[in-house]
Amino acid sequence: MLRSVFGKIVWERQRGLLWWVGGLVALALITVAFVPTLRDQAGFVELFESLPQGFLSMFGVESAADLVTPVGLINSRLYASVGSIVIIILAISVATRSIAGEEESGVLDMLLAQPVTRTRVVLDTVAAMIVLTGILAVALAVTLLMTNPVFDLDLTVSGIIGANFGVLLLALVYGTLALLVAAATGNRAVTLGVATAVVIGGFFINGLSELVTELRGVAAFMPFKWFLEPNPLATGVDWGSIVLMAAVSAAFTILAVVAFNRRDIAT
Amino acid sequence: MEPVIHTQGLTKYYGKVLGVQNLDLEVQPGEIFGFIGPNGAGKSTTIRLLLDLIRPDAGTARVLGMDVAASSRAIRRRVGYLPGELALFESMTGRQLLDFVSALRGSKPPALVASIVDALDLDLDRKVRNYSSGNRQKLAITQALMHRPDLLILDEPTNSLDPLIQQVLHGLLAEARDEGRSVFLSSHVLPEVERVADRVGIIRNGELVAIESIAGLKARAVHRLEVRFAEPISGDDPFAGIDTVRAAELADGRRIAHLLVEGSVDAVVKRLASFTVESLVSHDADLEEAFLAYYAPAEPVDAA
Repeated sequence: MLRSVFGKIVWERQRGLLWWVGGLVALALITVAFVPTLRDQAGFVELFESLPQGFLSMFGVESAADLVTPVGLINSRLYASVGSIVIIILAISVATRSIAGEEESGVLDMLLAQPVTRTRVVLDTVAAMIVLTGILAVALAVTLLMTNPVFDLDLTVSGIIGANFGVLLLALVYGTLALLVAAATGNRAVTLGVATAVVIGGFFINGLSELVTELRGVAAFMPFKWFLEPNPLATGVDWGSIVLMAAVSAAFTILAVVAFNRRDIAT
Repeated sequence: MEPVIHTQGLTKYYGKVLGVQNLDLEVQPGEIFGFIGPNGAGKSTTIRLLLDLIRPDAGTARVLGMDVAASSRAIRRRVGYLPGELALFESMTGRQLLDFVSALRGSKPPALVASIVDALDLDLDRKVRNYSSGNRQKLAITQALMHRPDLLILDEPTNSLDPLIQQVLHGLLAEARDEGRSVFLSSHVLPEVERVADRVGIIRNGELVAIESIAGLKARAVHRLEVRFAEPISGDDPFAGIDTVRAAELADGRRIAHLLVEGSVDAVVKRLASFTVESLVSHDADLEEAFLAYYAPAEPVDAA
């Protein structure tokens, strides 16, 4: 596997990836296992109806009644919150470690002293990011496909594909943004800080925009919004938002290549 | 023949901090060039400029006949590099690291590896993070040498090597030179370079102070002489007018003379012939002192 920069990144991650997959699958299993219990619980709906709309929308719920439908519950628990965040974190950590981390430890010198271009390093990192987050998205999709008949989730195959394809691109948007910061600064702390702030910011702005009308204009620029509206698990692949997220990721990647090629590698 | 390293006016600042300034350097094919200077003088800056890891503020650098700014990848294909800071791929084993580096160069680990590893006595099956600093250095040397690069750039290669392994390394470098390949070797200690290098460049505060052959440097070496006379010297300074004497001092009631002589001691010995000399002690010509002479601020010693 250690034949290229791409192979090296995947190789370094293989053991850790087992834990990521295990955690995500466990999260999905816990979520779907609750579906039969919550299904059509009137009391539960009343409880949530008493909560502010903004609170609900932050978790990808249009109305309290959505929470007790399998599609609404799974979307809110997995794609509008923790599940997506886990996949995004993996994408950001690949970007942070492979450029900023290796630069801070000094080992980037040894890599770039080989006949390898900086452009190649950036592109291989993106490729590794796609493969690694793709494995998580596929694991999540497979879990839902397999539990769908067991728990009577009433999910459609196109919905499962749409949600997981979407979450992969959502993670890529934030991962390539982190890559851009890493390529421009070479600083791990700055990279993590900026990427985390943008993810958390986007998550809350998207959620609060239901409550605070002033935020609606800004929310239109939040990848979470692109991904979650309409509910991808219900509607299937939304090509408009897929293309948009792919274009933004490509733009961040190109900027990362340019930034990385222009600057000095720190000692 | 075109030099393997040719820099002209190479200048690099880190913000306002000087890295190197106006560096004009030529290294010829088939020579081992020592690059000496104290820590922070600009040795690693120069090397990293040659590898395109950092970009100059002014000046140009050509390596193996190619422009560093335009053809860095083609250059690096033919250059072996030993970094000064031994940051390696920690989670790999030694063998995996050599395989990986070879793959990036589009080849399998060459047969040469076995003989280098053997000579250096290196265990390749352990993880790099468990290596001692000596073994890290050996591994880094192996990856730099194994592809028979046309130019070897070594940043402080013998930092943590025991003398026996140093000798092996020097043998490998001499072998490379004998095959017509070139070596650029930086160090902050002269004796290490003196044994293998053909020429040395001396860098100080980012500027190249001198380039000399080892023989030339030796000719400038400073000798310390201690002369004991049978009876006190009377009259004027007995060494007046000898231009190789940089300093002279009489002690013990003018019975002993301490001399600093640059280069040949011939003129001094001939002058001494007119006195009755009881003993004459010469401390070995030390390149370190010749080297330090470049660094000594032009202090008004009682030299002419």
